[in-house]
Parts: sequence; structure tokens; C-alpha cells
Amino acid sequence: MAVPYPCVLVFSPGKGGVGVSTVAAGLMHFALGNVVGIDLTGTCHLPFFLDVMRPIALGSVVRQWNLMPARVNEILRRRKPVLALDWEGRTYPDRVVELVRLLHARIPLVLDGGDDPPPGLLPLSTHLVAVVEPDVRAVDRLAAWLERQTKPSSNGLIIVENRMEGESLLRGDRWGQVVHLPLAKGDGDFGRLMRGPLGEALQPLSARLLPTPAGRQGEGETGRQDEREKGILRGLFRRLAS
Amino acid sequence: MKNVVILASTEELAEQVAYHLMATGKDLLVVDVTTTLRELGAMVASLQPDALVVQEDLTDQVKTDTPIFTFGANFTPDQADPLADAILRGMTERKPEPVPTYATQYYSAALAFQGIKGGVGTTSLACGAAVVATRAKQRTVILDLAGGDCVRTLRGRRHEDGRFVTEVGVDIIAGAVDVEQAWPRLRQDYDVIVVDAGRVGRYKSAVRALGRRGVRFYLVTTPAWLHLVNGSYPGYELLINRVDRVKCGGAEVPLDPDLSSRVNKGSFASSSPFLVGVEHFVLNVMRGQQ
Repeated sequence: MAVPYPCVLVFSPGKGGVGVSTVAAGLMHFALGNVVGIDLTGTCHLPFFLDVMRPIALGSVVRQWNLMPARVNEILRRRKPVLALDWEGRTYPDRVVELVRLLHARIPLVLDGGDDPPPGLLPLSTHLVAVVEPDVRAVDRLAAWLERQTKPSSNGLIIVENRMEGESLLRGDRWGQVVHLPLAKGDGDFGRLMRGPLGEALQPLSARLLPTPAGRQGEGETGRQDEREKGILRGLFRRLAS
Repeated sequence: MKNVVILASTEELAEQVAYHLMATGKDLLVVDVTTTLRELGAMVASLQPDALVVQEDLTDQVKTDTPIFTFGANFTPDQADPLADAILRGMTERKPEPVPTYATQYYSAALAFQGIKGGVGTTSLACGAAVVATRAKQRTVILDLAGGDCVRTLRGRRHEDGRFVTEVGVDIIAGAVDVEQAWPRLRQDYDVIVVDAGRVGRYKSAVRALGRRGVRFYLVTTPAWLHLVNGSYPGYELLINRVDRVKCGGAEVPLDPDLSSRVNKGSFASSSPFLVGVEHFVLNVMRGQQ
């Protein structure tokens, strides 16, 4: 079956604190259509940045294997829902992969893989976004990660050099596609970051990775579904009232 | 009243000196006695005595800013009176070497850093602590459990025995370490052991083993991520990195925007506000003032 929707795995090849969740949240923030975000780090930074007060606990979705498709339907009814890995979700890594597979067939996904993404998700992703910063430690780890990749991935690998201030450390052809994001200070205010130069640089990347094919994207689909449901309810109420 | 700590080669001799010093009836209090340098370091850090009374042939091994007074191995009771007078007059018989840093006050220390999340500066702090300890002439090793970032930060070169050696004099052991097995040797070979234990929740067995050995663990965070420290980390002490305005005496290290560029240039150990901050932090740790 052809893969209809993009699945973007944002991760850092080893070094933490380089802005993986910020990039993932930025991609979601600027996505024009509906998109599901999954925080696989257990830190809940993705929902925190997106101001999602109560993310859906992955454990609650994967707990009962046979109910997963129904739970997926519930998730798809929401606007830009965010799922977050919890202790229960950690105990079912294979089910989490299966959930991603189920969602992937129906809606664009942004996965926040942190600095240790579950290996089972790499082949599922249509785009790998490796985030580094201009620090030799991060770049060395990226180089080591690239060397470990035994077969060239069919997925599009994009390297994001975050917090760029001076010269790039990713010179030469060996790195492939590199996107540079500027150093931005938002004092922890994600909205402010997205309104500034960082947001300006992330917006085209989001548009490229999460395009909105007419009539297919989740938002339109969900929006119409919502409208349909509202219409059905209104009709029911009218009938009851009469 | 002056507080003193006594170091002698045997317990009997230490107690004999203590007894006769107290028996002089002078304004002097022997707060503790010991026969090992390691214990002496801990006593200096925790008791902060006004002076150390050290057996003559042990003085070369004692590195401290605290004034030292000596006595011979064949101490006799009649020497107690002039010794007590010398202490009270503040006459040092051996001036301590001028050592600019504080780590010298602690002879055998082990401290570990774990970040509340990635990128809060755990590796930099571990490397900084090791650098300042080495400058204070302490034999220092870093256990880099987090997989080699300390080696990259200090530009370590692999030695034939598997360790990494650096130009600043810090040794690094990178990767998985069987702490139970390696610990006795580490204590023997090094004065200061610094552990980069990555992020909280990782390397659990090594962290438990280090904890059992009384290693002091610091939970590293930054002001931006302070909200993640929600009281659920028992056994850790808090260390806040990248603080705009450091409060005197707090477990805080200042923001140093150029740190990353120094790491990239291979000049991490050059003097910087960061290393000064780490130096103050380690001083406070060693003095037990946290």
C-alpha cells in the first residue's frame, strides 16, 4: 500500500538539549493541515511547547491491543492532538510502533524522538530530521550516527543545524541537505520563538515536510467530519424537539 | 578558642598529642584526630579547624591553606606547652604552599553530575570540575558514563591502557565501567574522581554503585528548566548552570555564552567565567558549605 501521509521523525543523534522538541513543535505549529504529534521522549516537552495541557497518554491508547483502532479514530477527531509517552507506554514499545503505523496511514505525523529514538520507527518515517547545534560534540555524534547507518535510507534525511550564530560546522557535501536555524532567545516562550527569526526559518521547512494535498489532509477531513457530526446532532435535536 | 585537628601516623600518638594539648589548659580545642589524609580532608571540609597539628614526616603530603603546626614522632608531654603557645600565637612552623584554588583542601573527593535533561551543561561541568581539581595538583579522573563527550570536550587521546589522556592532565575513562570492580583502583590512583553520568534515569546500575560508595550526586539544571525539578529526586543536590547573576555561595554556575565556541576551538580549559564559576562551586563543595 502506498504511504499516503508524511511521518516526520525529529531526533538528535546522541546529544541532548539541541532543540529537538522545539523543532518538532515548530513543524506542528506551522502545519496548515491537521497533524498528530507524538512525544516519544517521556519529557512532555512537545505538548508543553504547544500549550497542550493534557496530552493523550500513549499507555492509555496501546493498553488494549484490540481497542487501538477505535482509539485511533478518537484521536483523529481532535485538532492537532499530541500523544506523550508515559511509563505504561514504555512497557509496550512494539504496540507504540504499531500505533504509529496505524496513524501513519491516516494522518501526517510528527514524532519527537529525543536523543534516543526507538529504532523501530526509523524505517516507518518518510522524513528523518536530525537536529544538531554548532558544537563539535553534537557534530561528532552525527558523523558517528551517519557511519552506523548500514544501508542508505530511502527516507529523506534533513540535517537541521540549530542555534546558528557564527560559522556552520557542517561544511562540505557529506552532510547532504542541511537547514540552518538561527539562535533565538525566547525566554522559554515558544509562541515568541515562533514569531521571531526561528519561526520564519521553520515555517518553510514545515510546509515542505507537511504539505497539504487538497482534500486529503487531516484538518480538512476532520473539519468536515466534525461539521458532519455537528449537523447530525443538530438534526437529531431538531427531530427530538419537534 | 582555636579549634585544631591532629594528624599522626598512629592513633596512639594522635591521642597522646591531643591529650597533652588539652591538658595544657590553654584556649585550645582538639576537635578531632585522624591517621589518614583522606579523613583529614573530610575533617577540614566539614569542621574547618583554625589549624592542623601534623606529625613532622607527614607534612609534605598535606596540601591545605589551613595553618599547620608540627610535632615529632617522639612527642613528649613537655612539648605540648610550647606547641599550644605556637598555635595560639598563630606562628606557623611551615607555611603552606600558595595554592590558588580550593580543591587542595580535600584530598580524596568524588562527585557526580547528572542532568535533568540533555544539554544543560552536565559534561561541561564535569570537565570543568576536573580541570580545576587538576590545576590544584590533584590527580583527577573523569568517569564518562555518557559515552565520550568529555573526551571530545578535553580532546583526549587514547592511551594504550584504554584510558584517555588530555593535555590538561585529566585522565578520562569513557563508556561502560564496572564501578564495583574499578572503584578500589580508582581511589588508589586518583585524588579526585568526577563522574559525568549523563541524564537522570540513565546508567542506573553505575549510579546506584556510585551512590553506595557515598559519591555526591549533583542534579544539573538551568534556570529555564528549573520547573522540571519537582522534588522527586531524592539523594541529589541541585546545581543550577547558566545563571545570569550568580548568588554568592549558592550552587550556581554563571552563563558563559562563549563556552561552546571554546569547546569547538579546543580551548575549553582556558580561563573563562565558566571555569571561575565551577571553581567557586567546587570550593563550596569541598568546604561543605552547600
